[in-house]
Amino acid sequence: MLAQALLDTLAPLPIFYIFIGVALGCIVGAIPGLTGSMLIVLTLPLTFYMDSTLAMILLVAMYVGSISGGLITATLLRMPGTPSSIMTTLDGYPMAQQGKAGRALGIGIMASFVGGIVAWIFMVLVAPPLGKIAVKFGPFEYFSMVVMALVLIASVSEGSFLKGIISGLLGLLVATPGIDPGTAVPRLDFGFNEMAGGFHILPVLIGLFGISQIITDIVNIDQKPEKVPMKFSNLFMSLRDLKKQAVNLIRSSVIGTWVGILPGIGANIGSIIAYGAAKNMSKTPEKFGTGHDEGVVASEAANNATVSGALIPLITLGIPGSIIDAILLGAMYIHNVQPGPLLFKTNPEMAYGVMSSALVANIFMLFIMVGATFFIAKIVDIHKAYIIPAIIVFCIIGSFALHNRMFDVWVMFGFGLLGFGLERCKVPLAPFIIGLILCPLAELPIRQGLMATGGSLAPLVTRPASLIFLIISALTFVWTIYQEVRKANKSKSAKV
Amino acid sequence: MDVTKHRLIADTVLACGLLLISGLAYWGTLELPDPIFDPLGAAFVPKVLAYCLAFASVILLIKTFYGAVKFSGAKQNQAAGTSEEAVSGQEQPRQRNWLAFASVLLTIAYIAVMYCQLCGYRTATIIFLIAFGTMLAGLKPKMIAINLVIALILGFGLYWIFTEVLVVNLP
Repeated sequence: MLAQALLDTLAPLPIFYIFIGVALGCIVGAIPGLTGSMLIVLTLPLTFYMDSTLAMILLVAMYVGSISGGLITATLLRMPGTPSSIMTTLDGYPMAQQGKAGRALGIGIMASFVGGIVAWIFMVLVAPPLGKIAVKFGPFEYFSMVVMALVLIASVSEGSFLKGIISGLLGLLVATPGIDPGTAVPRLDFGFNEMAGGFHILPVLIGLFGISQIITDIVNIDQKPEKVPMKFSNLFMSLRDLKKQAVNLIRSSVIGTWVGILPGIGANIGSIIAYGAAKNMSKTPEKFGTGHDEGVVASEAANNATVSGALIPLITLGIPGSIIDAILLGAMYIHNVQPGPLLFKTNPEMAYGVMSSALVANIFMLFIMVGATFFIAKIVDIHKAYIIPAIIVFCIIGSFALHNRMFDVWVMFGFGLLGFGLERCKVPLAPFIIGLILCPLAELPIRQGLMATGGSLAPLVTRPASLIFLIISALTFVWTIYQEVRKANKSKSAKV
Repeated sequence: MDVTKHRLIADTVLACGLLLISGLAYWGTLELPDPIFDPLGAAFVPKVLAYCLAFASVILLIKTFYGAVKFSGAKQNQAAGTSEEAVSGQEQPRQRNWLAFASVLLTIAYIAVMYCQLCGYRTATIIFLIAFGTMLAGLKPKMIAINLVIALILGFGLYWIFTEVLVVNLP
């Protein structure tokens, strides 16, 4: 099946979409202030008219490109194009200052490629058997899994745990208006006819990742980083370097893949952990942060590995591994594809299409990054005054095109302002978006399960998988609160 | 205004806003019918979420209140002239809040004009893009010219793509 999907992906149309997706992803990923999530949500309305598998192939290619593109500005401007490249700045920028921009980019690109390929191999080995196990999950396992995903993401999000929980609850609440899935009664519509269908995922996503980011960009429009003079040579990693970095490459890729699999933990966490591990295990840890190859390799291999790693729970369980995966999950709903354990049964062409496109997109990424880094670095110089207004127009059209009504545009703009406000108050958006997407996935199964058991919640703890998920949630919850209290006490005693 | 005070105000506003949202959600569930076959019913999930959100907001409010008490205590103990910014000694990049506010107003006007059907997508978009671009970049002839080209391309080009190719009638 995978071989067939790979062959299908190599047809002219998918190849064209993958090329466009990776190229756009690399460009957007390289421009600080524009994110992969923004690119994907703005492209979503254009995919309404495409075949659902092709649409997912395009979006996955954008995902791969956007995570990789951040390397360019992280190295040249000390400003990561995407948060996942934050650790690359620590060594990439000093290397560029030392006149080794080409070398930093070259090893970063190769590390990204290796990370992507290692994680892809994991995905191919793990996803189909995991999908078979997940098919056996019932409504109670599903509910517990969603609880676990929300607690995990709230615990690792930036800022306080309480704000992460608030964000997740708010996302869940925003998903409740509309027709009640159990009784078909209109719920929380407050008398507005337009609210009868609830808030559609797309305008909410466009608002949260388009408008809110744009407002942030306008606030910081005066921030102009200094660009280091660059020489674009050595964009291919030598075989000698590859051999020297082999252990670091594999270790960082495995860490990235594992972090990607955990629900809700994004590429930036993967690269931070891999960077820390590389530093701890290095023979020259003192060189980290001064322009050391190992730092760039660890960060870039790990952040690209999280992409395929995060696709594993997405296609097998319907649980997103990061914000972009949550958007991809939303894209599946928009294309009337039911994500979750049954995806391999009901839409195998999509499940395998996603897997094969991740491989081809990584190969394209290697060539596009090597061939076009010079041009992408030039595009980054474009004045924001041209880009920002155009993006707002795209946000508005994208929301309007959903149902041909202005209500969705107001919803989009309202959520944009909400997202900006939440970010200003240091409330992470990742739990919000995961709560929004996963609410229907948790509510309907638990209600169906309760109907089947006559209202008994006992299966939540009597079914082994459900119990394991709940124990993990409880332990994470207690551990995170313990850590926060400990941190607060430490800072208190430090002040005294 | 220093960072801590700013954070305390932001958290207080956030907690109050969240309490308002949870109250609104709870009020919305009151008119929902009681369950018949379904043990939980339509109102259960939003009601539980409203309770949880309200509870979390109250905790945030309490945390913020204690933060404010500590902050005022620390302020009294602080020696003159040693504010947080002065200690850090780092120049913060300028934040253009007013520009963001003006941009939000301009975008609301752009959406409202199309919503009220005062003018169509093409005219509204061209005016919006030129006005917005000029607001961000200033009155520089070169930038205005480039913005005009972008405005024409997005105004007419996107209209053509959406109405003719994707068969979506823009406002």
